[in-house]
Amino acid sequence: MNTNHEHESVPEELEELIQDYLDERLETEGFVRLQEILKENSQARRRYLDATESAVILQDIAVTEESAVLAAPVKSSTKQVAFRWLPLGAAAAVLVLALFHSPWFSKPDVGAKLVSTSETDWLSAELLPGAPLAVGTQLQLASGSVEIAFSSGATSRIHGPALFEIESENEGFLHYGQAYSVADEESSKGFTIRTGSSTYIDQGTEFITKAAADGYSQMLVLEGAVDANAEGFESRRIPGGSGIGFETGEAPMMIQIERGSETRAFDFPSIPPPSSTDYASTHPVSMEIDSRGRPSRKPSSAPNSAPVIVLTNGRAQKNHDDPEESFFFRDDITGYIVFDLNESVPVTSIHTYSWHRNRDKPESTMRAVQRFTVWGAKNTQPSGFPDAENSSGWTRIARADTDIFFQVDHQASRPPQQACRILPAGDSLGEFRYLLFEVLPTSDDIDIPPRHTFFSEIDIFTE
Amino acid sequence: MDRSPPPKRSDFEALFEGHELAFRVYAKALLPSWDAVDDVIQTASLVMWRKMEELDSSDGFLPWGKVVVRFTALKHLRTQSRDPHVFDPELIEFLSQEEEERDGGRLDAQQQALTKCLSALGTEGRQLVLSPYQGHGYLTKLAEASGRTRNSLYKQIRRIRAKLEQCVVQQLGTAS
Repeated sequence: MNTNHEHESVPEELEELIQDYLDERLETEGFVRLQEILKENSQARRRYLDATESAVILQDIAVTEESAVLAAPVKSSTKQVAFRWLPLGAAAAVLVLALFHSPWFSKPDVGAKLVSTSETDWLSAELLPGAPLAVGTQLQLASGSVEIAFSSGATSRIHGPALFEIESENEGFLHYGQAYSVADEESSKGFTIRTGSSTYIDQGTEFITKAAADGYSQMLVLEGAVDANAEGFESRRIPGGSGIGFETGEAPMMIQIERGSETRAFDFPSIPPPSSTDYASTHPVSMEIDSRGRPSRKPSSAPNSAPVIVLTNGRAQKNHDDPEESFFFRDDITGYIVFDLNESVPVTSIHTYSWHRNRDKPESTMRAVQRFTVWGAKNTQPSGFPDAENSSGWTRIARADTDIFFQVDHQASRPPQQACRILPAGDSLGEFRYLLFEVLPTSDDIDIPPRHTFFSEIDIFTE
Repeated sequence: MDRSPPPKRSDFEALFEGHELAFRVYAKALLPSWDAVDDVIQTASLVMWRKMEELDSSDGFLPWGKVVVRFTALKHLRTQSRDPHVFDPELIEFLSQEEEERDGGRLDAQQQALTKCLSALGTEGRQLVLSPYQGHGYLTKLAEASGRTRNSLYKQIRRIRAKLEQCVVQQLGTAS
């Protein structure tokens, strides 16, 4: 809104650029133009600052006014929970820090304190902000979130559905759900979140942990570093921006997911670039593709996709939008890629790579995301594909969803080049002749059109 | 004129809340997304709390807090260098300087005027003009519920914003 008479003649183009930018709907070309105008013209900058003031006031009203919340047709999403929690940030900070000096923490059995709640639907007994949390206390949420301050100075925000247990004044157990933790005080060094399959030990940082009831867990370091431990694996120090996951069961697996350099070199922090010497590139491996949900008589792969053979040619994509070197399924289906390795071999690791960024079509950045489950079969190819109820004779090896690892909640935060590496706890992932990649569209959000990953390469290692 | 005494820790919450809107405006002017604003304000509030002893007067809280917001925003932007919608450093410097020079009192007046004008819009107009600030997908839901396209709704939002602008200008003119 224009609140200054001297700006009454603001050109329509500038007004639209500013409003679209503030509404996060401005495309790259418009952004370049807006930046150009703002750099050259101080009156335009004043108008931009005026419009920013109005937008922030309106956003404040939209978020905080009960009438706006009640009018919302969308039930609270993670983002909205965050919106509602964040205005409490200052108050929470005061409370968290004040609690360190509270007499409650002088009691040895009190490990933490409840700082705040947000839209919390409790399954365990309801607690109010300020409640002391004794060691052994379990907090179970159906939805919403709670903020916990440990007496060590660490804080954790638990998002439901979740079950979280206070284990000590510097340690919690996430049975399932999500925990966002900050441990940047000297006294909170070594702050630990345990899950059914893993232990994450803070080294002065902030990190997000997720755990599923079936034991699967993953952790993403936002800043600093975290040591990740799981039975059968050597301890790994995970740096900021990287994540790790663990599958449990008879054959525990570790899933590393990393952001690439966005160059043809495919540089990743620890995962090597695509290989031309892996088993799939050097042996007579055959591949078939299929799909579920495909309209009749249409092929499973997208019309402009390269043949599936590009996944084993040892060559990476040449640029950020290179369909000729990418294999990708037709949108809105579940795709299957079956590798026949010709004989049963001990598979020691699997690497997958993707790269895509189309800056003029933001929804197309969805094609960098990898969402798949990899399955194996030893000697005979099962006749069907697995579904939610039936594995159809396949053995699940590991699951990957890179958006979850990177905590993507808006387009700009999604890495355009990604790699995933699946490693076993023991010597191999198992002995398999057949590997099945069940590839899902990269989003099931109804607001985002379903897209499929631009896969660059799938490397299968046997030694 | 006498300066106010140094703020106490117990004053922090009131001081921060009193200026939170101004801090958010400053952050939004420099940052490409609302999510980034939330992150930066969250971090900045903790930094302010920790460094409050640096202040020798409550009067200085707003300009001092803005400096904290600016440095926190710049730090955040360094981690987002691949985001194609981040302003370049020269423009950020311009905007920082000009924002810090603005009259702090204008924000309160604008907030009052905008709130008053918003209440005169009617339920549908109010819901529409607030919809871009209610999370990703909200506008799509509104469009689906009303059987219209997003673009058509957005054009209507632009028209309502223009009406709001006229109303606010009128309000501020009347008040001055």
